[in-house]
Amino acid sequence: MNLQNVSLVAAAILTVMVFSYLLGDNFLYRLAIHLFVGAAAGYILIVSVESVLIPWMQLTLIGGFSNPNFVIGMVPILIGVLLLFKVSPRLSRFGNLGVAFVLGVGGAVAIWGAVAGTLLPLADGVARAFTPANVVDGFVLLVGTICTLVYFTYLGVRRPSGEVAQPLPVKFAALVGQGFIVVTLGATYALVILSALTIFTGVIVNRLLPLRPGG
Amino acid sequence: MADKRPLFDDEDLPEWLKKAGITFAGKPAPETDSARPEAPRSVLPVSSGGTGALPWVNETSTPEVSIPSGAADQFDFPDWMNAPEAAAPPSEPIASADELPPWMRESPVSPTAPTSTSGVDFDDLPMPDFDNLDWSAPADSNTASAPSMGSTTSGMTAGLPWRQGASDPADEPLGAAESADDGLSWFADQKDEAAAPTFEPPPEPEAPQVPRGLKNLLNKPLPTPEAPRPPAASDPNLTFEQWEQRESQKAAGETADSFAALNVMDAPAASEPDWLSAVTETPNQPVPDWLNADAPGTPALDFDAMFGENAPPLPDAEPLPDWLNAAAPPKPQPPSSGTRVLSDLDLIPDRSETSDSAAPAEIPDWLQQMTPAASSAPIETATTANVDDWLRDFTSEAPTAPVSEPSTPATVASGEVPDWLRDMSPSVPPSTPIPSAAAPDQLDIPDWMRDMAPAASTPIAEPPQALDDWFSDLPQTPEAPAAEPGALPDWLSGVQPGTLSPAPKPAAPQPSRANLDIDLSRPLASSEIDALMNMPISASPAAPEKKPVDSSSTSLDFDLDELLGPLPTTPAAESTSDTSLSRPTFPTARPTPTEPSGPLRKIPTAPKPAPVAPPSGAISTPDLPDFVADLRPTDAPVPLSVGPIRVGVQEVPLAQLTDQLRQLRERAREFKPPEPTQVSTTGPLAEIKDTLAVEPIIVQSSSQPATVATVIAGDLQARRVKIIQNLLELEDDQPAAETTKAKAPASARPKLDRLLITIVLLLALIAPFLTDAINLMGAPGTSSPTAAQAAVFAAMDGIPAGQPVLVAFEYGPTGSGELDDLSRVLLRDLFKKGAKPVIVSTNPSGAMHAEGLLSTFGRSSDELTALNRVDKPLLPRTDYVVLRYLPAGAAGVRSVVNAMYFGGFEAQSSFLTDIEGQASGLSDTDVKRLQGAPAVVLAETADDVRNWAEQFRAPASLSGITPPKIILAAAAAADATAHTYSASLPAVIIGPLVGLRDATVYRTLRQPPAKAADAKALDQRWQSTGLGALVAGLIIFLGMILNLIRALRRRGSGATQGARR
Repeated sequence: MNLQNVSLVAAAILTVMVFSYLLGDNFLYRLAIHLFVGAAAGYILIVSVESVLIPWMQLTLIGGFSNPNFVIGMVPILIGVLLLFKVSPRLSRFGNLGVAFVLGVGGAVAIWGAVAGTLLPLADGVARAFTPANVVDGFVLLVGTICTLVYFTYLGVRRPSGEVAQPLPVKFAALVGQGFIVVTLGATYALVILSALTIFTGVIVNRLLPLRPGG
Repeated sequence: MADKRPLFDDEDLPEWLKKAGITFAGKPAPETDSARPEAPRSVLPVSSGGTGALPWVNETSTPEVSIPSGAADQFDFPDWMNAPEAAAPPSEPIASADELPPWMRESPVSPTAPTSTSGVDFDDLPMPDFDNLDWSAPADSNTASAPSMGSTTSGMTAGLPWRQGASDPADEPLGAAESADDGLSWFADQKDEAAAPTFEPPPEPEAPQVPRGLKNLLNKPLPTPEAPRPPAASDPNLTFEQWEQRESQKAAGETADSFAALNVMDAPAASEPDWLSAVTETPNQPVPDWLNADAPGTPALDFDAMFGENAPPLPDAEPLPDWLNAAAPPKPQPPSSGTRVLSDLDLIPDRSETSDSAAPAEIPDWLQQMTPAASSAPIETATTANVDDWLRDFTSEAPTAPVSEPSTPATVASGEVPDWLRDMSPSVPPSTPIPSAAAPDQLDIPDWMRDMAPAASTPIAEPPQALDDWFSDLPQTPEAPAAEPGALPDWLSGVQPGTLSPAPKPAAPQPSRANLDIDLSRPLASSEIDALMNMPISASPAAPEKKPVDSSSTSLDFDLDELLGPLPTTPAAESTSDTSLSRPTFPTARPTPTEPSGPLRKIPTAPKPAPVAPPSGAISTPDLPDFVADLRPTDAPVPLSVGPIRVGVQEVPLAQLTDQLRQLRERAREFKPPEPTQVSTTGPLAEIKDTLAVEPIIVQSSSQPATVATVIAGDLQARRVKIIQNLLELEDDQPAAETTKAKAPASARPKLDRLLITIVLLLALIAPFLTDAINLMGAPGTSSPTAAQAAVFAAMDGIPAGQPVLVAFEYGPTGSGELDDLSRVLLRDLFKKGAKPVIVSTNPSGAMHAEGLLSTFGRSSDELTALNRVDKPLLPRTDYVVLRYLPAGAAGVRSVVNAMYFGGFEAQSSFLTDIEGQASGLSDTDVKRLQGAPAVVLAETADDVRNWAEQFRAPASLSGITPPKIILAAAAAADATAHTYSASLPAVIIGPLVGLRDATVYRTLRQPPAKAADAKALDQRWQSTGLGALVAGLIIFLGMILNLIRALRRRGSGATQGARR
């Protein structure tokens, strides 16, 4: 039995151990989970070091100041050192600089990507939905979008009794938007299940069928 | 009866008695001499002051004692007493006054012997009318008998004049009772008969060294010197009033004679000892009239009636000397039946409280039947152990004469009494033992004084001051008893409070009796009587504490307190606060009861314990001399409880305490024991002491509040309330809690619904691989690709050979089952086109999975055959490049885009090395060439789709360049997002290809399997996935229906409950 078959048997056993959770929380399930978590953490550490740090240091720091990328290469190193100050409560303020930098850059990239890649395209797509050939879809898309946004509206009117209530149109639109959300989440959930089933069938086809005689 | 038992031999009686008619067995003797005979002078050189208790001896009129021959041998007379005996024959009369020493000659003779109760049948005696008694009456009527109370009970009779008149107990009731005229003449006759020794005054150096305390006691003045004047016993029908009237007709000097004894002590004593001279300050006084019983018309006492029938034989009495037997007075005749008797006297129980210590059994029956106080008091006051025999005999023989009975011998009769003094009362041999009224042994006093203690313990009424108060408050109705003089004999009048012996102040200076300046020869006025009454009695300070009276031992038919009225105000609290040590109790001299007509019954055998004034209130400490206060006896052991142990602690006198102990004692008084705390028996604080008491205070508002604020309890408060409730209900709910705990599941049971669903899904997924009978799914439409598929096909077909194509593996091993098929079909097309896949991934495991997938795919013979690269496996960094992991997600994608468009450092950092750390072999040009081919994005999640759809854009700063495109292949889970971005970014996103369905279509259309088994396996997988999705859909639907029904039920029940509320 070669190494691939050994890995296949190990994978099959670990899969059964994970599926044992159907009978309840048990030691085999926890053992398999702990193995996967530990292996994933170790793998990420190794990948981060071998695939990120070492190439980066080779690219920027090796050669010192003679390396033209040394200063740029020191920036992520400096930010990383600042993040280490977060370990100490007394010096955590210095780590805030690294956090601010990371969050700032990440937020900026995400916001710009969301606005440019999601909101504007979606708005443009909805607007374009109202075509003579696609009136119904466009209407449904428009109503669904508006009602879904109204559903996340938390504005209301305070009644004399002190109760805060939304106007009836808003409540109705929110109710319709809630319906769209339910359908969307249901569909997403169904797709997740379908994806899982596909994965399971893939395991059967790719892992189990080759093990059958003549497979 | 009395005639049968005469106490006197007629021939032995003195002449003065015979003249007085007290002779011949109680019958009046033939008057031989109507004139008042001169009191027989005794040859006894003893002055009254010397004896103190023997005033009759030191009086000049003291009759000569005739002691029978041989009788003197029975006594141990001192030499000085025996010496005159030889010189003076017994038959000779007592030496005249000339023969007496000067101090003796100057001594008056005032034998105010009590005569009232001696030998009187109390049952037959008339009863006084107490309501009408005049306490301020003249001394010859009522007050004359007053000293009987105090004297008989005090025991300190040394200074009592009426005692002095009958110092010898043997002749006290006799000579004093009937000697109304000639006093002790009978005694002088006795001397002749019995050849009594002639006493000589003891030499001064040999005089008994009377202690100072005794001296003071002896020097105590007497309150009321009047001696009782009983009616003549020979005339029993004579009432007191009649007798009084008769007596009032006599000269005032007769009355004064009765008080002559008061001044006996005032007689100067030239040759007597100092201690004795201090007592004898009274000058000679004439013989009281009561002694002059031979006065015309004065009835003689019937000694037969007094000592006849009612006088029981003396128990344990030693044979009396003949002279004493001869001197025994005849028992008087019982009074008329119509008069009240002394046994009904209710005053006696009042005094009897001091005699409670005497055991009733020790009291003779005849004595118990008689007035307890009058009879037992003088007996009990004498110490049994220390009283001389002669005194015992005296007390037992003359029990019925306590009223005026001088108990001088008792006060001084002890072992320490000198012989000469002891022999002065030799006439009475030891007889009945006298019950002890107290326990003088407890006192820390000299023996000689201890003998006096019982006498001192007699209920001396009160401090003079207190006596004044109550006495002054008495109704001044002196005429009432005077109205019936015959009904109240003198001895009975002695019970009047005015004649009671008030408690003297021992330490106080002796008030001079002469200072009274009272003419005793005339009837005394009320003020004078008060003055006399206020004279302190020489009470022994060492008197033992009066024991609490046992009320259970009495059976009186009436309450004496009610008759006697309230006690005079006595500062009891004041004295009790001074010291806790018990003090001598001086019986309160109560006034005559206000209920004269009350049923005066026979005196019970056991004396009724009269209400006793607080012991400490009778006499305060300042009233007592220091040595008495220091010698205050300790009471019975004070019980001290220390837990279950109970011990008795004997107290010590306060004076013996140290200052420190006294301070501690004062502090201890201030200590207040803490109140017992409540101990709750239930609740969480059960059996815990010293807890705060629950105050059942409920405050209820009287009016409705203006604004009713709703009590809002937060979750935290509610939890705390619940905790408190649980604590309070802990005891009650303990079994329930245990039951609940027992019902708790020991372990989680398997969820059958999950297991059932799992089993159903497994069967649905596995069944297509086992059989084709359940292939419910139709084959994916492979006849014509969809628009998305067609776009992808077109895009793939547009990639030139050798074109590096950026392939993003954004899925890991978990999504490999779904996306590996898409990856393979896409990579197969890429490799067929001769493109060079440059694989990147923002997922660490994606890059690794891609490396493994390509490694497997590149060495698969089937794949290589399909690629027309048999024996040419795909080589990394040559045929494909698996780059390293792109950190920072969207930023990593952005850095790749920047590297594609800008190259430079970012291109180097992202594309320089592959996943194995080796040089990727990509040049900057190869990176920029990536812009010419669409990027293939294999996204497992919606986030991966969004990141690539949003970030994989040409920089905005660059214009005129072709925007990069994305062939989007996503898992079924990211189908919606992929389609959304595909719809919104049609110029950027090609496709999308989603899951197994598009993979199957793509492969069927573009890469049909070469083997039938692969085609069947692909079909089975499709059927399996389709069947599983169908079953899952059904289960979800079924679950939705069930949950909908449950929701409707829940809402219905909620609405019902709301309607009920």
